[in-house]
Amino acid sequence: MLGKLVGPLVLGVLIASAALNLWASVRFFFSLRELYKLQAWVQYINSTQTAARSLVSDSVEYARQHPSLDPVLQRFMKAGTNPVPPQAAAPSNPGR
Amino acid sequence: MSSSESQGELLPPKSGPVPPSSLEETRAFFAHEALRSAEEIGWLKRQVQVQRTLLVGTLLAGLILSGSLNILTLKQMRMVRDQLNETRPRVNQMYGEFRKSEPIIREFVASLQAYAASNRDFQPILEKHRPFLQQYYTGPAVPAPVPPMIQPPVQPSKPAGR
Repeated sequence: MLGKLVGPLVLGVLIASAALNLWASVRFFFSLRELYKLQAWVQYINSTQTAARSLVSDSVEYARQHPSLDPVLQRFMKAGTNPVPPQAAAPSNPGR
Repeated sequence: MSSSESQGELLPPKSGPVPPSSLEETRAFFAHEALRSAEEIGWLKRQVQVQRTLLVGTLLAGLILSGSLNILTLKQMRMVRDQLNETRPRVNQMYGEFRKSEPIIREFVASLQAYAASNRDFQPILEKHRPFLQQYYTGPAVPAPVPPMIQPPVQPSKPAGR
């Protein structure tokens, strides 16, 4: 009697395990996709800020030889209106 | 001569067990057949048992495999969820700050472009950053003025007669 029950019992547990696995895989997939989206945003923001910072430093360098640019720079270098805020720390990569 | 007799001569002799002629032989025949059937049924029962054992073994192996995969997937899922929960507020904050500074960057680039319109030697510096800040630039790329030293030399005319 017990021998006859082992097969269906194991099969039932296997089906339940497969369903759990499917659920976890779907959840994992969507979480990973969202994480990649966030990382893409971080990368975009960082690259834009780096480029803007580089433009500012090049402009400052140029303004040393051409003081006519100083008024433009001074307008943006006032406290609170710096075009490029300090760089934020990027999140670490997902462990795969 | 009848037609059946003529066909019987042409047909090959029938194969298989010859029907018993007497009652004793019939009993012996059926006893032997019953014994053979019992042996075959016993053999089939053993085969069913072996196949059942193999099936249960396979199912157990699949269960172990599935369980291992479950542990791995759940662990990965939990790791990614934790990382996502940790990253999301930070990125939201970062994005909010970026959105605040975006108009200033746009205005700064516009001011520099206005300055470069009257000071053409600033144009190369501005154009160097255009690929990375494309969304903040207005108008098409302006070609930088070519310094006189870099201008290509005038080609000498071909010598005549050659």
